[in-house]
Amino acid sequence: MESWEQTLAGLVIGAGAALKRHAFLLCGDEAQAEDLVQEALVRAFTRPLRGPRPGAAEAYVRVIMVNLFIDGARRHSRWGRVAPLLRSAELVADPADQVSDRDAILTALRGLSPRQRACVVLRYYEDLPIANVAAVLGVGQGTVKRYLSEAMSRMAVQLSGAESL
Amino acid sequence: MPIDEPELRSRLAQAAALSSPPRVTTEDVAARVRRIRRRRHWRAGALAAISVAAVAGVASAVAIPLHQGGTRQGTMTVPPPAGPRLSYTVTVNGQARAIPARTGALPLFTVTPGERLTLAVRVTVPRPQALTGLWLGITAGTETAAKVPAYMKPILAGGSRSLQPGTQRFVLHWTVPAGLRPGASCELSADFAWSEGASAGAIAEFAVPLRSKATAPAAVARRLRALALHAVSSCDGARPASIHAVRTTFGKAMTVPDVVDGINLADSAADPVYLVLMKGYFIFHEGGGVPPGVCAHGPSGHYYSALFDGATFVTLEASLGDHPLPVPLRTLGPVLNLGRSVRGRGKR
Repeated sequence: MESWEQTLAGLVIGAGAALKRHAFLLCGDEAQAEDLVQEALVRAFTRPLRGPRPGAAEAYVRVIMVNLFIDGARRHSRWGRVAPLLRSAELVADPADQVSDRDAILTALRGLSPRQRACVVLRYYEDLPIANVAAVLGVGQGTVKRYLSEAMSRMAVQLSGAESL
Repeated sequence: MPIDEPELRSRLAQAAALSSPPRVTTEDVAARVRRIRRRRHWRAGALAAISVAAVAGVASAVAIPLHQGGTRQGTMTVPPPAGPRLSYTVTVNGQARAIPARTGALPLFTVTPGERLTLAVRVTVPRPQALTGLWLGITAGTETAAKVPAYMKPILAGGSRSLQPGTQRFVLHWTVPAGLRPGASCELSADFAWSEGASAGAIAEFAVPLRSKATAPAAVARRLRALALHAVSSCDGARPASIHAVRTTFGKAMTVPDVVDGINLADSAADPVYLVLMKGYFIFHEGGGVPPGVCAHGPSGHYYSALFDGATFVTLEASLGDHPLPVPLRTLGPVLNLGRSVRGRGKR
């Protein structure tokens, strides 16, 4: 039977990049994505009772990442409301950067709530069916559809604004 | 203008490609996992033996090796150099505990705020590698190897000087901060460097035991009630109609389907936990930034259940639903009634 160390090594080497990309879309930030991946891996493998099975380790870690991201966003929401007031001028994005498609989509993602962002990433990046997205987030399928609908509306506004620049 | 779904998929894939390759290494993660597992295992036995009910930061003491410049060490395919495995013997005011390098178990010393401690630390550096620096100091639980261990407050001894293989003895004096609250803890940590890298880790833990009153049933009930009410405090002014709690084990709580759908942090079926069930009407707002009464877009339900660790009262699980739990609380253990409602209830 494969030990947890072997499972972990296989996961980091085989799926590390994919996990990082997933985390990057959730967080929109390199450093946070790095931390999110590491924290999710640690959480996954510190549970002897319900640790990941070798074949399902990647999916297990992805679920933990989404939940950690949502929980973390909830905890930091108070700070998030204040942070923009404290942000210095040099940290404001250069408008020229926003012209690029990739920056525009990241900006649009940042405009969503954590659950909406998670829904968009799981549905349109990971290509999960609605039922699976609902299972990952622990909400009903109707709720997921509503999150996606609201997210798409917000993103449409953001993206059309960016394209008109 | 609506977004075209295929285009959105393509743009998300492009954006994801912006992400740089991960720097996390198997060794980093495995070291953290081993450390947390060891600490949980050791702590469970120690807590039962000395009746210390709560020690803060159960899983927070982790080591993330860093370059001396401050960035993470290594890449996914290049493991960091293996450093010397130091072993320590710590004596605190005459109490001695050995820490074998192989198991790394962390000894816990109960202390009182304001107490002056004399710490005698024997550090054994194995052959053949000599150290280029060693620091000993007090940390809040997270150790990272850095050029100067500024995270140690205070640094009790050490510096950048060569330490040959063999045993060195340090006698340190430290006064436990007067403001350290019951249940809080801090650690004596070692940070050392050798020719190819640096490492850090805790070598002993100091905890202030809870006052006996804090573990009395009435105090537990008050604490659970406060935690439960705090959990739903952002629910649009909603007040629970009833709050019940049951003391049970994590293993039994796992048998209740609606409680453990999410992710849990407990790792032992025998760990004591409190399951709290509230009845009412709860609406959670996304991000918590919505003023009461403005909208009801968050998840809602009539039953809110939460699982708290029996020793630290950390929230392990929380769930919201429209139906009562499928298993009666009394089948899990003795039920506590935490009060029918808050006086001066809100709108519901």
